[in-house]
Amino acid sequence: MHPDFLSPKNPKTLIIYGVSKPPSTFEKEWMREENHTQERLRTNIVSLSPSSPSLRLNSKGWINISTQTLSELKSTDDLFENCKSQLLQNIDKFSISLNKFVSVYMDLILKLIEKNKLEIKKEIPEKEVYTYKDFIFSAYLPLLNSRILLPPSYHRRNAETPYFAHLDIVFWIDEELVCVNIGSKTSGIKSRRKAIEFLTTNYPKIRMINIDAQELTLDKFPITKFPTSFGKFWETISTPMGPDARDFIIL
Amino acid sequence: MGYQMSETLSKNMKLIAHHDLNGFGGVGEGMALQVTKNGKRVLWIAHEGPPKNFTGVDVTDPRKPKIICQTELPHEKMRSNSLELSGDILAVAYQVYELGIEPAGVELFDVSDPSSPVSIGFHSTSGPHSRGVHCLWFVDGEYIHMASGAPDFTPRHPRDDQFYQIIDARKPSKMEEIGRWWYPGTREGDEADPPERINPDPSTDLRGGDAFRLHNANIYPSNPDRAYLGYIDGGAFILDISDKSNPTVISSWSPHNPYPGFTHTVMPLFDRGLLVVTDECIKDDGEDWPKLTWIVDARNEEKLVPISTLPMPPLEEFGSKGGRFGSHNLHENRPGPSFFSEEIIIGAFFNAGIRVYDIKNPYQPELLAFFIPPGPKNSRVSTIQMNEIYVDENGIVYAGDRWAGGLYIMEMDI
Repeated sequence: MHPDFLSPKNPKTLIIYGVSKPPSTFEKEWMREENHTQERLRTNIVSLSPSSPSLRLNSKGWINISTQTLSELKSTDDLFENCKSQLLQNIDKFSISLNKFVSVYMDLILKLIEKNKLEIKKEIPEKEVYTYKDFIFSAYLPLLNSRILLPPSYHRRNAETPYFAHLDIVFWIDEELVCVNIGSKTSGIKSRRKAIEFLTTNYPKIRMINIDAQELTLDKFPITKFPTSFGKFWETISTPMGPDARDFIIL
Repeated sequence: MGYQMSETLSKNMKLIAHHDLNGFGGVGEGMALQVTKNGKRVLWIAHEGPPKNFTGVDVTDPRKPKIICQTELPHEKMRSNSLELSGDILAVAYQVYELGIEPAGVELFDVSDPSSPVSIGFHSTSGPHSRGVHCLWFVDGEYIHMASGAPDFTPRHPRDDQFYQIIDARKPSKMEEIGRWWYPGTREGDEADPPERINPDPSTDLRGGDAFRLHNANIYPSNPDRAYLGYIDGGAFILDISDKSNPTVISSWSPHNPYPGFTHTVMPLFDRGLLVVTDECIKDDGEDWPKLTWIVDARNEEKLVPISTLPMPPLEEFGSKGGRFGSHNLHENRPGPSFFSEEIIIGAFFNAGIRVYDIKNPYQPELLAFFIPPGPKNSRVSTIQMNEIYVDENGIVYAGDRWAGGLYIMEMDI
């Protein structure tokens, strides 16, 4: 059975993202795995249940930082830059607006952390080793060039064929699917329009956001179109975590 | 329909209507869609040659197209191969068959009442060495960008007469040229040497290839400082037109030779840093094959790199079918009630019909759909010769045959 976000018993949302093989190939590979029913975030693919925690830059699975690289990263800023470059690497080189989105979004996160550092510092207990800036990795993870698997009911006559709704960017924030499209790219393509309409109409909790290409600047970024927590990503976090955290056992 | 649907070759495209344009079915290189104030949708069509000037077709219901206007040219030694619409103003290109005769230039019509176009301005480019305007671009209601000769321009080669001109059309009754650029070496008196001919032809025939002149100029309101030129045997050019009185070259790219020339359209895909460049097929029976559509990496606009071509059906099959076989016009993502995509490219490929490509992976374009009807009656060749294309915002495809077939209206299932 394909993952089905409309399933009454076991709703699951499968999202293929980034630069990848055709999404149907990924979906097949994912289905062949024994533990494919688990919720997991990996490079290029994620499976979500309605109660899955928000996807953040420090969510485990989307990024691979080698031990060698990790040892060379000297600061939070270095680690943040590494996250940015890995996001950029996972975008089609011929998508200028997506590349711009990542740059502006990462600059926005930095700006928000600096702007709110007094508020964040107040919540940090004394003698803690981390600083306000370490909360930067609690910012939400943009799933770039996302293709969301539609349920079999989307195309009953060909239910075994996977169909996807294509979106420029998807965030998973507070159990809500936050979908972002830049510009008006594909209105004349019937299959894409139908898929988006189906997703918008049927997905249990979804927010569709259109961003004009001109809004992709730090000053004009339309943050008010996003959920409130998008711009307050540190608020529900007690202890900051970095990306690709290792499961160390301290003896 | 006037022909057997069973003879049509198609994939993911369906004909929903056909109109022979009242027996004047030779469609030129201009199609533009108007949405009138009362919601009527009118497709304006340029004709390949005389006696007709332009035709307005009511396509409010695209399944039932109706001619509401068909105008005549002043005489038969001219053609109006190209037109564009901005708001309710229609710009029409006039090109003459003999040097020096009139009218050669551009005429503006108020088409707010589409059944009764009213001339509101004419700009002459007639001259002893000018054929007037072959192709024009007018999408912002202010400036016309066109390929034309001029009374003060003496080309070194008679077929190099049409160069890039920018016309201020803000006052339709007083249009004036405000900028120009031509391929260095093509004007009498230029310091640069004349360009080396790609496929030399006798200079006695004004029509045809072996030319260093402009065909299409594409300029988009989203990026008004750039002009994208298809300069026939000169290849593709990007110009900086931030100062319209002084266009300057940013870069150029040409596959000619070894490829056989005639760059026609240079369409930028701004969000992808790509250009789609067509070389027009101008000879029948595969004689000038290959005439390709190139995908060019323009992320660095100063360094253009070709990375792929749109796949075409085999020369062995289509080259000998009759008529032209190869690239020509594209749907150009123009503003207005127009399909817009930087991943789906739709073009007219003469006897290979209308073809729809997915260039999401620009290194490996894929054919998604095509439509090849049989050759129309009364055509000078045995095959369809898809010459022009316009796709509306709903994905309805309007296409025209070059010689006789008229208007074909299709739905895409992609």
